[in-house]
Amino acid sequence: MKLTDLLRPNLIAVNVHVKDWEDAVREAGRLLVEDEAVEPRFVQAMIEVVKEFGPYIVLAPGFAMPHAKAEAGSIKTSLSLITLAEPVEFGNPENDPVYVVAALTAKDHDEHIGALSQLADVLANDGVVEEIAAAETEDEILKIVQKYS
Amino acid sequence: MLKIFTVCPQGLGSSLIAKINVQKALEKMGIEGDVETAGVTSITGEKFDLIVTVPEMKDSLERYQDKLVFVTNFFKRDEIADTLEKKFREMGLIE
Repeated sequence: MKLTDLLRPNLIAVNVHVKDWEDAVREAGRLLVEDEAVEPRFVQAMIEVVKEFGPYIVLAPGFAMPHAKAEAGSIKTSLSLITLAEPVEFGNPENDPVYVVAALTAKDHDEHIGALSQLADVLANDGVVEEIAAAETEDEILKIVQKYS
Repeated sequence: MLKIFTVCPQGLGSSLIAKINVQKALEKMGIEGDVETAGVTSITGEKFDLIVTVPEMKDSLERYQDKLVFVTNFFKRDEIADTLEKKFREMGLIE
């Protein structure tokens, strides 16, 4: 699967207002629920992962990738992406504050490898998180992703 | 050939991104390695040279402390390569 198979236009939202990190995960999760990519319980599962294991999902400065196991209610392998109107703290000393949140759900262990590999290629470019954060429309974000993948 | 596990709490998202970037780093260094993702419990009894993981896993993986490498920025491939190279030298795996 390609990255754009996972990150579909209706799974992107820009300048989302959230009050804290849980809210940010919830908003990114809501897009997955509305797309019927996950069951509603999956969203809480993503929050619980951070509460249990810590904010390791903040993978790089400004960028968090919440996710939960397939058994938590994954329906189809998907990625949602929101940019935050105001950054939030996840409690990760190296990489806070977070202003881009991409929620991942994977139906099985292998299906998302190609797409995540592409995402890693996109995010390996210096300044790309800032570029995504500065996008004003969903379409702009897709264009940035396509440009680097 | 080196055997490397990338470990995160769920063995699903972060460890996969880590695996991809560790593979790229190894390629760049010209080192042959077999990189696999794993959760904390699934490496018990496995043979390996190195674990690449996140600082949050430090306590759970304490018994492998000589073989641990921590990553805080998953997308900085140069940084990951530098960290790996340093560790490989320390372990005497490369000259």
